[in-house]
Amino acid sequence: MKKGFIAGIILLATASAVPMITQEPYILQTLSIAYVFAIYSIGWNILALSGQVSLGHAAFFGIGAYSSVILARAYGLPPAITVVVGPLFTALVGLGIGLLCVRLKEWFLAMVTFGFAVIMQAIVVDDQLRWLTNGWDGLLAPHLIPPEFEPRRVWNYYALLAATVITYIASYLIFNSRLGLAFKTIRDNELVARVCGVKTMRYKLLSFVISTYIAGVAGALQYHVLFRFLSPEVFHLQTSFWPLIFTVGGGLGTLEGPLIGSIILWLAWEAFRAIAGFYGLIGLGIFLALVIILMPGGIRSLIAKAPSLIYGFGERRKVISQGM
Amino acid sequence: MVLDATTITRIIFWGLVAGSIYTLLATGLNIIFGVMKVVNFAHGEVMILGSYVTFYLWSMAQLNPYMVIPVAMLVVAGLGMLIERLSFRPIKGTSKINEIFLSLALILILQNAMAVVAVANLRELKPVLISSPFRLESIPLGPVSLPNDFAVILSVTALVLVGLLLVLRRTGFGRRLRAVSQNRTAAALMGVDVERMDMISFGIGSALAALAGAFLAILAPFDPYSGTFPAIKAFAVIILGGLGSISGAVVAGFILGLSESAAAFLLGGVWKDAIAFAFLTAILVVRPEGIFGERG
Repeated sequence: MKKGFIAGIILLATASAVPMITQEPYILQTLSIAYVFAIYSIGWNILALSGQVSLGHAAFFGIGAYSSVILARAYGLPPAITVVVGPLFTALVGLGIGLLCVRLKEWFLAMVTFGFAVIMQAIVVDDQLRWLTNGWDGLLAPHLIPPEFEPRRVWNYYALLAATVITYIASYLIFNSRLGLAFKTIRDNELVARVCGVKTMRYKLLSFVISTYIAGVAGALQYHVLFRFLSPEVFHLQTSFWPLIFTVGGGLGTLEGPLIGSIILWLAWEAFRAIAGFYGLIGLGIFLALVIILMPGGIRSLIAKAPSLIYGFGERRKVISQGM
Repeated sequence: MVLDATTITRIIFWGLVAGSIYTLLATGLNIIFGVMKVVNFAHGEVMILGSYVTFYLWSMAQLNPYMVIPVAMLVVAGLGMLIERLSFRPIKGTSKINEIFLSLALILILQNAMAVVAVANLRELKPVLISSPFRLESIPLGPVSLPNDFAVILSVTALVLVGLLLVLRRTGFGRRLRAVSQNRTAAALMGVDVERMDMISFGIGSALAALAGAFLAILAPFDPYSGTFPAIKAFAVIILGGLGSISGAVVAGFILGLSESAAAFLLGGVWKDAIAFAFLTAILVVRPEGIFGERG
């Protein structure tokens, strides 16, 4: 763990140094988006840790964004407060969906969550809610960083970096507690978990609540900090697929997987697209396919193996493949 | 909106035609799932591949579009087998979520490859449509009339599904395929080449998707991105019908087509997509194994 701690400090120092080296808006913006994705994926990963795979986290990402923006606009609360308070509503919705889904497994759960994102979009654009959500026209989100902080893009960058660090630490605490252990036991074998006295239903719901809260915070941050304009497009299915791509590509069910995956894969995504357009995206698809074919445990497994490749001694324990 | 006989028949006709497309997609997915236990989320992109192949064959050969569909089905079946061999076989047995990840990578590859070809040939990425020679004709049925295209699509779908069921039930090949879906190890021990069955099932599934894609191209304009959603709905259909049950998928596919068509007319376009999933959620909450699924 000590090695991981040192690696984390080096990574954090590098990330903090970026605005001192360059303040190019494109670079800062791309990295900032990677941090939002990292928060979002860490949240998604916590649900996956308890063996529940969601294909509809766009719903929670979007509800978090909407509730925070609406709170900030309607009551004039500073966005710094609403990004923390607004997503509580997301967690409440997450609890409700969790209750609906608690008996469902695998594909069944994946489809119901996917459908929930589609249903959410229909609800948000419905005429009955126009006074609240402004339909397809969307809402303008107030800035998280007040105008007197200049240059704003640097403050944006540090705000998102700080949020990522806080989320990562929270995830670390969950992974190394009885809570994380209970989640993993439920994922590996629900019956065994129950025999060991884990109240499986309670823990599954708890992982829904934590995961959807974090996804909501990521959504709120995305719109208060980066893209000021919030429209129902946020519920698009691509938003649901992002955390899956980043988490599985980085290393599903591991602490550092979502973080590594979000940063490396998002930067690869941007680079491929910027360099070669459609051809770049074809290349990216081939790259992702190769990642999963060659490294079924994600990019993380390559990094974990690196010392053994260099020094010639490896971890004895094999990585157990994670079931869904 | 006034609900008169004409509106109701239009809802039903559209529902049946949409239902045929969902049913074809779902049956293909179901055969693949039955044999390989893999869900290909890129099934919709395979369908649009079918639309484009039919579109190009039709515009180059200047034939009746319905005549070129079998060729398109063969081409796409070949591509499907290639996809299985190159991408799904190497990751088989790692985990279900890796398969979803791989499908998402395939979606990226196929969508953008189709976009490249479409841009090269049509100068820009705009939705295209196959104009059928029966466009303006219809069969009068008392006060209402059934467009000829709808009649062809419905009868071809019915024929293909019946033919498929007969092949699966009555032939030695069908027996081997069903054996692999029931118990892979036992089938392998009895001398069935399971890996070849994987490839063939992927080919059949892709051919059915190509047929659905050709129908879609005749009914409405399409672009490389119009496949993702129908495929995921087709997946909802096989869950609703019970995983692995083909008759379940047929029933659920038509239920979905009809309820979407009704929702689009009565509640508006946005609810068309949402209603399918509202329905799915409601049913799964009551019966977590699907309508025709076995309790286990």
